Amino acid sequence: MINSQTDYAMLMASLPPHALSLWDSKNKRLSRVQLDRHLSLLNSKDKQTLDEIQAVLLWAKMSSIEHGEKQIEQLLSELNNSFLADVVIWRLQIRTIMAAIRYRKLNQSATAAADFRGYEGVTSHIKKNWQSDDFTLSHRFPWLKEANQLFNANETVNLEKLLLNLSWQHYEKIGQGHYFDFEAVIIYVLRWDINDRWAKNDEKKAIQQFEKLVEQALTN
Amino acid sequence: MNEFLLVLGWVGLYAPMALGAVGSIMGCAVAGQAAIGAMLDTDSGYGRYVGVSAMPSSQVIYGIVVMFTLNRPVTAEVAPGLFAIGVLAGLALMFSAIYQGQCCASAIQASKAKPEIFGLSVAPAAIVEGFAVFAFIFALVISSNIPQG
Repeated sequence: MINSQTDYAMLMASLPPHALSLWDSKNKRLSRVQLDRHLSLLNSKDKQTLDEIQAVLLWAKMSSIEHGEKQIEQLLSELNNSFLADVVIWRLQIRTIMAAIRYRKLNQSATAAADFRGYEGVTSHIKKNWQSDDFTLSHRFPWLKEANQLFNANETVNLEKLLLNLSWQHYEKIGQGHYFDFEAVIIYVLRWDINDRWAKNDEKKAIQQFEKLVEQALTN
Repeated sequence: MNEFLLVLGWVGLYAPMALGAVGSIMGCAVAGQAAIGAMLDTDSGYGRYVGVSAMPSSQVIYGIVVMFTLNRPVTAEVAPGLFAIGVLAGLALMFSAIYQGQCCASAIQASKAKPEIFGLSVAPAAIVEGFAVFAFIFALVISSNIPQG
């Protein structure tokens, strides 16, 4: 136990603190290579848990939806840490709700609610309240009203900012009290991922990628 | 019964030193590794990181002093007093050292990012040290009431 605690203290002290605001671009940010070098201080079991959590929470690391569902089930059954399970579930709930909002707009068929798939914790409630604007979830997720408004107004950038900032602040809040333990490492890396995702946003590249996808779709 | 009391007396005699040492080991190890981690991310201030990480070592010194103050021939009459004062003072010293180590690790981490708050960041560790000093002083005061065997 002692060894682990001291190892986490060393790892956490070696990492530069995150900026107070997600939009603060002046703060020095670690590159992926630098972060991986720091994370090499983790033992193999912790590294594997971290990889598994990232594999579930990062789109880039998810191979397919079916595989992703299996990974989520496996991860939640194997995680014997309620704090980390809550971290994963919280993000999956946001993702499921946003997916439901998008799916409802794209799929107006009568079977849309029945066809919808997502994280089981909120999916059944969403299906029951499919016609309700906020799926009657606003009391549990206060941000949902604003997200819905931005989505309906087609303000995709502001919606993305809202969702990223929501996770950023949530992780900061739950990270209070975890400074030199594995939970602190997970929170740090997940916040780094959010920061990285925002920092990599590039309008030109996005347009190029969009055009490429449209071309692919047309050729198929 | 007498033998059991004598065992407790000897436990109490050595407890402040042993428990203080355990606390100092754990506190210094946490703060020390935090200092090493901070050195990986900075180009200066190494000396003060190592200095702060040594703060939890004072508890073992207090423990040694309490042990010598309690030191007397262990008899059935003095054993309960030795046990109570020794073990309780030892526990107080041990926990203060462990938590002081965590305060020091946080101070190192915070002052690494903001060197100007170094002095203030050490204040919580100094406050924890204050409680260790209370436990130490009052163990000395109250141990004078135990007969010299």
